[in-house]
Amino acid sequence: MTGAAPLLEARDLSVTFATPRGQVHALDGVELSVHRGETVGLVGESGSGKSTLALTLLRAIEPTGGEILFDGQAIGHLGSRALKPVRRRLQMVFQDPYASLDPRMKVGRIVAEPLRAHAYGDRARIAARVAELLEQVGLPADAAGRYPAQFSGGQRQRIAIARAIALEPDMVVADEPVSALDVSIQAQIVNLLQDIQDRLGIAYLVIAHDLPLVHQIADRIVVLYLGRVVEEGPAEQVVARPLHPYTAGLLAATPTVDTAGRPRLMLKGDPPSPINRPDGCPFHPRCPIARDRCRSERPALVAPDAGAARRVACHFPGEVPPPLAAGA
Amino acid sequence: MADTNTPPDARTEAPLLEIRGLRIGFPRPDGPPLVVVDGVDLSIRQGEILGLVGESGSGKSMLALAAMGLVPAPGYVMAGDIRLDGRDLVTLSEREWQKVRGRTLGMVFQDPMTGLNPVRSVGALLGESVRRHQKVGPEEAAAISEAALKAVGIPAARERLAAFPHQLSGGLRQRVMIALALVNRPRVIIADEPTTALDATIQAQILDLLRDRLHEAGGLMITHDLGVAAEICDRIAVIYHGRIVETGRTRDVLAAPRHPYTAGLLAAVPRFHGRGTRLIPIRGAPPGPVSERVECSFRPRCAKAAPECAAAPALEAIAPGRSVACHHPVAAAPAREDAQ
Repeated sequence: MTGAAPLLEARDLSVTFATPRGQVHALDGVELSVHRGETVGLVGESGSGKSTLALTLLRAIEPTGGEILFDGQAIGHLGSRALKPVRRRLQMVFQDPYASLDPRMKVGRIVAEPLRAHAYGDRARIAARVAELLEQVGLPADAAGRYPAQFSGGQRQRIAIARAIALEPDMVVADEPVSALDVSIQAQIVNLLQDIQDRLGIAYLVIAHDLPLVHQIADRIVVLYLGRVVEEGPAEQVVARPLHPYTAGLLAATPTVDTAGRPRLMLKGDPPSPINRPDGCPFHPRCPIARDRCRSERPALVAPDAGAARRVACHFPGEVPPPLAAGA
Repeated sequence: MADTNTPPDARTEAPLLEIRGLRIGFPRPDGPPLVVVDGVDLSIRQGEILGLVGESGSGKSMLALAAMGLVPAPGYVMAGDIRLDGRDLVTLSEREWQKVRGRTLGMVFQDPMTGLNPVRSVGALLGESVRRHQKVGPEEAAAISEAALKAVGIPAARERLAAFPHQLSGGLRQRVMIALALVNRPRVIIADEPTTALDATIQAQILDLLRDRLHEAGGLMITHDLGVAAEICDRIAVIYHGRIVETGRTRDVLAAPRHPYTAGLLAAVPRFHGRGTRLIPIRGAPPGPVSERVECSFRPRCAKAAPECAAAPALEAIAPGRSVACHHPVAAAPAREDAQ
């Protein structure tokens, strides 16, 4: 996987918003890559910039610095006409299936929308494709003639997925695709996404706050804190042996049925505002192992050892004991 | 760890909060009312936290609202008792309820922004509640308020009294709401999804706080999240389609669920040791509210459904402190062999 060029790449990507209270550095030099057929899980808390990153990669927001490469092509500053062929290959699934589907449109038209926008074919061909897609996502054929309001949350997310895969994209960015759904329905949608990937080889960038979920489905995990990638690596390695103290804290904070009652590494305080970013390492005010160097010198995202598949932005990586190693 | 939190005499005391045969309905013009909570029994003892776990539409929040006298009209309590410290709450007038809420009954809601009056400072919110329920002067009320903020781990408590809710972070706002729930030393605290709107690291802090404070009284914790319930609840009751389907000590229920719905939820939730395996979803979706229950509500989704399931099962004790409403409970062996 490391040999081939990435399908999607963010290089030193920055997004700055001007607000009355000052400049907000929503993204600050983000480095990210997603390879063909791969699932990358992007985790972070409120204000980490994870949703801004999704919107920027999809070019709903123009970056203020750095570049986005899609299949080798720089797309960070393309106009909407030049972006059209990229959009065909790069699709999106949103968190809220109640808000992301137009309630006045019948399901058939919603799913056909990208097909029509990209001149997929005549009416009969589009109708046949819609029927095929509805079947692929596990919806009844007569769904095409009904409205989104007639479907449950899980079924609506199936509709959104059918729309996203209509043009057989190379990649889908999914922002919290199951967090609005009940647990018993979440698993249905997670399995559907995995089945589609097995069949079509689509790469996913899944943005989620739910670490066990990301660990379940992702090949690699990228951890975002205050607009920067603080850790990145193979999912099982990141969870089993987090190198950044923030990742360790996030893992320890996640309540699960298996780990209840274990002693916890408790991160103090709130994530700071992207308006008043701390000097040095942005995590140092909450870090249990912060030292003088961390207050003045910002750590770069680097491989901890030569040839490692992981990268971490910490002066003292791996010093915090892995929270799940004992008793998990 | 959960053991040390349960007082040894908990089993012998009378329950602080006791709910018996509670039914909550919503009238409709063209037929009998839709029953959203259908014959629920629950009890909470001193020093105990009970988790009420269910998905959307299960009736869990409606049950919590009934226990706070806040069932939204036109919904109403059709039948059953709710007793707080031996006193029947169902027959209270709104005026009497106002003396109970915030005094003997503390409440914590999901969203601290809507749960706190935005035009009142933290000190005013707390002080007003103290003076409404206790015979104290303004200075003493301020001292009690400051102590309440300290008790929920708010630094610089005295200065925070002057702050308005919007000036605080989400985590601090939830701490203020917990302080408000606790300030008059209630007998029972009801917390409805108190950490659902919070980030993971803040959720962990608030759960730690709730675990300590709720154990000082009695706690009813409403949550959709089995992990959250596992963290702080001594016992859990799983609610499905308006009925309790399983109840027992938290670790017993999670280690060896007996109702197929509980087992299904546990198999559907991602776990850290589940990588590379597929999640096992529960097929279908929960049914909508009904007026009259005939079959087991879980029957259409249940892999173990049998002809007997055409009659809804009652919640029956299968072991001390453990009940299940199922004609064919899951075997008592652990559900997952891979759990170490």
